[in-house]
Amino acid sequence: MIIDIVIFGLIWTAIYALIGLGFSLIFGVANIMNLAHGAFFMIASYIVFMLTAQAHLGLLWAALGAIIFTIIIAVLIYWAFIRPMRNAMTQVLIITLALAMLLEQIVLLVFGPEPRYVPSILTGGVNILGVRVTEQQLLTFFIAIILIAVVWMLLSKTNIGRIVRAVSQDAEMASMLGVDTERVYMFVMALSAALAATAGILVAPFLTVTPTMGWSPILVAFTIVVLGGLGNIWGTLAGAMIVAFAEMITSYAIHPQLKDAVTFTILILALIFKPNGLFSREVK
Amino acid sequence: MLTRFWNAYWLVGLLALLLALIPLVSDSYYLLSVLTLANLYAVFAVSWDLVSGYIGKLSLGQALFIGFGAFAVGMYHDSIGIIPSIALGAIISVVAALIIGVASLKLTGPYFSLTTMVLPLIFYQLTYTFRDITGGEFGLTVSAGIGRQALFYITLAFMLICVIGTLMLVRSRTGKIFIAIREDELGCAALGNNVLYYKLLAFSLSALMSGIGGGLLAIYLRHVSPTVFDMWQSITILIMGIAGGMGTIIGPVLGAYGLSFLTEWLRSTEQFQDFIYAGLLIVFVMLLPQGIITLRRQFSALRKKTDGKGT
Repeated sequence: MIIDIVIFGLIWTAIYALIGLGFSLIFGVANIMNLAHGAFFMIASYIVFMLTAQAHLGLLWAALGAIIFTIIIAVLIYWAFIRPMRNAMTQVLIITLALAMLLEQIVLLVFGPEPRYVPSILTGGVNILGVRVTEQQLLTFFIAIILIAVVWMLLSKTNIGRIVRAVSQDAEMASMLGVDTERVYMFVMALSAALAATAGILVAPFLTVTPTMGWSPILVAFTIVVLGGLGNIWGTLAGAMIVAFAEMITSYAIHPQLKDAVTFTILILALIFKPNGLFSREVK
Repeated sequence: MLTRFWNAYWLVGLLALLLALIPLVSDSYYLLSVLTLANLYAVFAVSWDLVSGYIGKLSLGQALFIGFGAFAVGMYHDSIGIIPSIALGAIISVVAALIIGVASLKLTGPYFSLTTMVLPLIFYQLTYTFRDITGGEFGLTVSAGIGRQALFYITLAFMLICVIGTLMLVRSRTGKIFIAIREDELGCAALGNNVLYYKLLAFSLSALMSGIGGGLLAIYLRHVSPTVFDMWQSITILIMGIAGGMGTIIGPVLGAYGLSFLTEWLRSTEQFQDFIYAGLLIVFVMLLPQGIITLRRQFSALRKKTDGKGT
C-alpha cells in the first residue's frame, strides 16, 4: 500500500504541478485569478473526445486541435471579458467564475451529463515494484515533468521569459521601457491555457470526462499556489506534492470520497496560517 | 434616491403588504410555494449583502450557514422539536461564523472569497460520506406539520424582520463603520475602531440570518440532502445580490424576488436555466456592476452627460 501511495502520489504530483503552474503564471504575472482555468482543462478533454470519437481523427491530431482551440477560447475570454476590468480583482474573480459556469453549461448542453471516455495514447501497463501502472499514466508523468522543465527554461533563460518576469515585477515600469504589457498578458494567458489543456488531454483517458470535472483541478491549483507561493517553480512542485500525497493517503487509508475534502482542508489551513506560502520568509 | 432615504423602508413595507395580501386574492398553491421560497432567498441575499456589500469581503459560500441550519433541523427536529432545532442550527451557524471569521476575515479579496467557496464543498463531501448520520445522497425527511399558508406568513415575517433590522443596522453608526472598513480597513483601524469586532459582528449576523433561513428552507422542502451545500446555492445568492445591487440591502431583496420569478418563468426550459444564470451574471458584472437598483442613477448620470454636451 505504501508503494501504491508513493507511485500514484508522484504521478499526481506531476499532473497537479502542470495545472498549478498555469494558474500560478497568469495569477503571478497579470494578477488575474482565473477561476475558468479548470474549465479549460475540461474543454480540452471534451474536444479530444469530440475529435476522436465523433470526427475519427488520430489521437495526436485531436490533441493538437484541442490545445489550439483551448488557446483560442482563452485569448478570446481574456480579450473580451477580463481585459476591461483587469484592475478590479474581485470583479475578475466573479467574471471568471461566471465564465467557468457558462463553459460548463455549454458543454453540458452539447454533450449531455453522462460521463465520456477518451482513448489512451498508449495502451498497456507495466509493473513497478508490484504496482500496476498503465503506460498512459507513465507517459503523463514524463510529459508533465518535461513541460514543467520547458516552462522553467522559457521563463528563466530566454528573452521572452525576461520580459514576462519584468512585467510581473513592475508592469508600469516595463511598459515605460517599451514592453507591450497587453501582449505579454495575452501570451501568458495562452501559455497557461495550453498547460491546462495538455493536462486535460493527458489525464482524460484515466478519468471519466464529465462537464463538472473542472472544479476539482481549479481548487487544487489554488491550493498549490497558496502553499507554494506565486511564480516559483519549486514552490509549485512542493505544493503539488503535498496535495497529491495527502489525497493519495486519504483515499487509500480512509475513504476515496474524502479526497477533495482533505485538499480543501489543507487549503483553508494554509490560507489561515501561512497566507504567503510555506516558503515565504517573514517580513519583519 | 431609493437607496438612501426613508423610502427604502416604505418600499420594503409595501412589498411585504402586497405579498401578505396575495393568499387572500389567489388560492394558488403553486404561487404560494414560489413566494415562500422567494422570501427565504431574500433573507439569504440580504445576509450575503451584509458581508459582501458592506464590509467588502465577497462571500461565495453563503450555502455553508444555510446547510448548517437545514441539517440541524433535519437531524434533530424529531428529538428536540422544531423550534429548538432551528435555534440549534442558528447557534451552530453563529459559532461557526465566529471561528471561521477570526481565522479568515483578515484575508483580503479573492483569498477570503475562495475560503468561503471551499468550506461548503467540504461539508458537502462530509455529509455525502457519513451517510448513517446525514442520510447520504438520499438525505433526511423533515415533517414539521406546518401548513403551507402558515409557513408562507412565517417566512414573510422573518424576511421583514431581517430586512428592516439589517436596514436599521447599516444606517446606524455601526453601518457607517462597516462601510469605512470596506473603503479603507487600515484607515478605519487607525481611527481607533476595533475592526475585527465589527467584521465578526457582520459575519455572525449574516450567519444567524442564513442559519435560521436554512432551517425554514428544510421545513419548506420537507427534505434535507447534501445539495444544500452545493455551489449553485451560493452562486444563485451571489447572482441575486449582484443583479440587485451590492451594498444596498434593498437591491438584493428585489434581486431575490425577481430571480425567483424568472426561475419559475423559465421552468419549461429547465436545461437552459443554469446557462441563463451564468450569462446573466456576466451581463451584470460587465454592464451594470452596481446592480438594477442604480439603474435610475445611471440613467440620470447619462442624461446629465448628454445635456452637458448639448449646451
